[in-house]
Amino acid sequence: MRKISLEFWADSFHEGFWACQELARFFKLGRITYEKGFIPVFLFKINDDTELEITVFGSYENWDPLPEAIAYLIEWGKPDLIAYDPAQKKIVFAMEETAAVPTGNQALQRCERMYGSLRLQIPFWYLLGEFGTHVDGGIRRDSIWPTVLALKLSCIQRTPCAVLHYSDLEHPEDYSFGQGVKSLYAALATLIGIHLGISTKKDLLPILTEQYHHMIDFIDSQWPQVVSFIPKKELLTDPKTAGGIAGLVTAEEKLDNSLLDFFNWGTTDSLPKDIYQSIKPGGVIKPDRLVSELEGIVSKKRGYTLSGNAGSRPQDKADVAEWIAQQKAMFGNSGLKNTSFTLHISDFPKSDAGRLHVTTAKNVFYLIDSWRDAETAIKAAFPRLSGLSTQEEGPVFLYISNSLKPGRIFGDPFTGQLSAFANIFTKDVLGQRTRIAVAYYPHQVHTQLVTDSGIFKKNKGVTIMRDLLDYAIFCGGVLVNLKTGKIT
Amino acid sequence: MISYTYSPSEEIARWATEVYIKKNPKLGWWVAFTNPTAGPWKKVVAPGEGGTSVEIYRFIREEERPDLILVNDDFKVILIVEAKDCVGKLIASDQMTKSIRVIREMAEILSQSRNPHWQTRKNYKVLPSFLWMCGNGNDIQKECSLVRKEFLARWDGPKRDVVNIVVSKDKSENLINTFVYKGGVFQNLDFQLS
Repeated sequence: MRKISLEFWADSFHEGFWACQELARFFKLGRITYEKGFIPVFLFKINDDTELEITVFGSYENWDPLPEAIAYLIEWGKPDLIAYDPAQKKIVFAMEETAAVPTGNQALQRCERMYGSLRLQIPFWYLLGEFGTHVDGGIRRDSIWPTVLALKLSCIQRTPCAVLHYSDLEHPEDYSFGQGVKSLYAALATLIGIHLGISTKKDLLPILTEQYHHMIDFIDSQWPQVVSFIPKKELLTDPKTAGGIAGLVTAEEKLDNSLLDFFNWGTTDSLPKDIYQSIKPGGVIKPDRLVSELEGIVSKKRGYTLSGNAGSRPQDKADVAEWIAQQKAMFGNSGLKNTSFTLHISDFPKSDAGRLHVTTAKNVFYLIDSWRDAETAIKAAFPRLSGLSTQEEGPVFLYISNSLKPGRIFGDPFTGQLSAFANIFTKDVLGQRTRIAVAYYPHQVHTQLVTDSGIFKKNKGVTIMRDLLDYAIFCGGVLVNLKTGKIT
Repeated sequence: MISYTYSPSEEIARWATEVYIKKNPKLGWWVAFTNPTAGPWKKVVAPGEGGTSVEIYRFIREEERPDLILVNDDFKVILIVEAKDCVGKLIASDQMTKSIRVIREMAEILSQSRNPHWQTRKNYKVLPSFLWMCGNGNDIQKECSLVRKEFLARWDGPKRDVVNIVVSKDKSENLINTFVYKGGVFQNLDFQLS
């Protein structure tokens, strides 16, 4: 009898235990025992020759040492479940699931975990509610962006990456409704079967085709509520699209040329005529010089935004004052010439309730046709950068995070938002770069990212920024080259 | 053979207790709520027909919640459990105040439930309970006294005693639960909770 051992590493014992219980629908469960009185060990009888033993480890930080592959992966965020083969020292798949639908600012919260796995070509599934209750009590439907990201990363990395939904309109946030849970474990059981040598990638093809169908259908039904257009949107209704992507990730088929511009938001000259004509600035809540320049580019139709609905969540005045003081203290150590700390509480407009708006642009990002325009805007907003010479060419993705609280930009939900948008808007489905990636943090100081001598600090957010951004602009117009660490 | 070592944590304390409940079904205890760091377990449930679970109460996003709720229909008792990795965190004054508030509010929610699957349990005795890990089995009673003292100093409701659940290692390094109630020390949760 051959016994294969896997380890399920999870955020909590419950998640690993639940995964094993669900797998018992596909593999015959022999027994459950508990090592050291509490560590679950599931023994499955796969066939007459093979047994599968799965040991569950809850809460990553409890254990020492963490397997190297897992320690490396979770630097990009901790998936809820990682299946690990200790003999091969290899991760078989990763999975994320959430009990609530991430809405509003949180919608892209876990996308860095998806990207972290996919960049290592680790198959990844994300299970979340399609319908959920927002903090305002209303029912919201999931954002399209995690699903768009999953489709794009599937193509780029030729690795399965799926977003599955549970719940329905009448039963928001309820795992027992919708097809998501069943479909998820059908895929994971098949993937384990492939790892054990009892299934083939061919067995995964129909499951993935169905999952990609679901994802594409979801985007097709939801995108008009989120964006003004989807590049190559006809692929959303083409019955061959899902099978094509499933074939790409399971059978190493070549990428169909028709997919090339799928989800590739190009320059203004490539936009549908009606979309081009409707380009207009989205507006500003808290005045900001760089944002005004960017709005100017959009008003000249040399760049565009996809939606202007970034909500403002005004902050308590005392918190704003405290955060400004903290930022100022960190800025004071910078030693940079020609710049000064520019944040002042009077710059933040009052809301009706007497709180303070921190939101600048009503858009989370701008898609600008040329680096030259972007660079001109940056220099106009921050004259101290007038001598900047970058030699860059090409269109630009410019992401804005208005967060003021120190350190927030390195954590949830901003790392997920950046992971999603930077991958979606700066790469095509072949993984080729299509835009220069710039982030603007008007209320954060650069010393949180990098030391004066160009040494990057270490945390999940910095790891993601260095991987996905070319430049970041901070308070006072301090520009950091994310590839070299050079501060201008 | 497990090749990793673990450090004490609230997650392990709570899970070890749930494993104890799973391994001892004859005692009649079941888990109505558990609060792991993530996952779909954010609601209070009760057994429904045909082995299903029925939702009794769902916490809203930022609502305070206990770490574990254990129910025994034979004893007609509900334990509302607050957990930490060590006793020091449980007896910190802010924490004990918060724990008592959480236990009170949860008891109130359960006593006012209109769910038909909970009606028979509305009049069960509700006991505050504390759960932690203890590195030295010889210290269990001493630590329990600290928790009880801190609880009684801050509890201003009808007279209640606490059920302490302490997780420690036995000689084989296996985690075991010890239950302490009204000065009595028990290896099983099968004693009279009057």
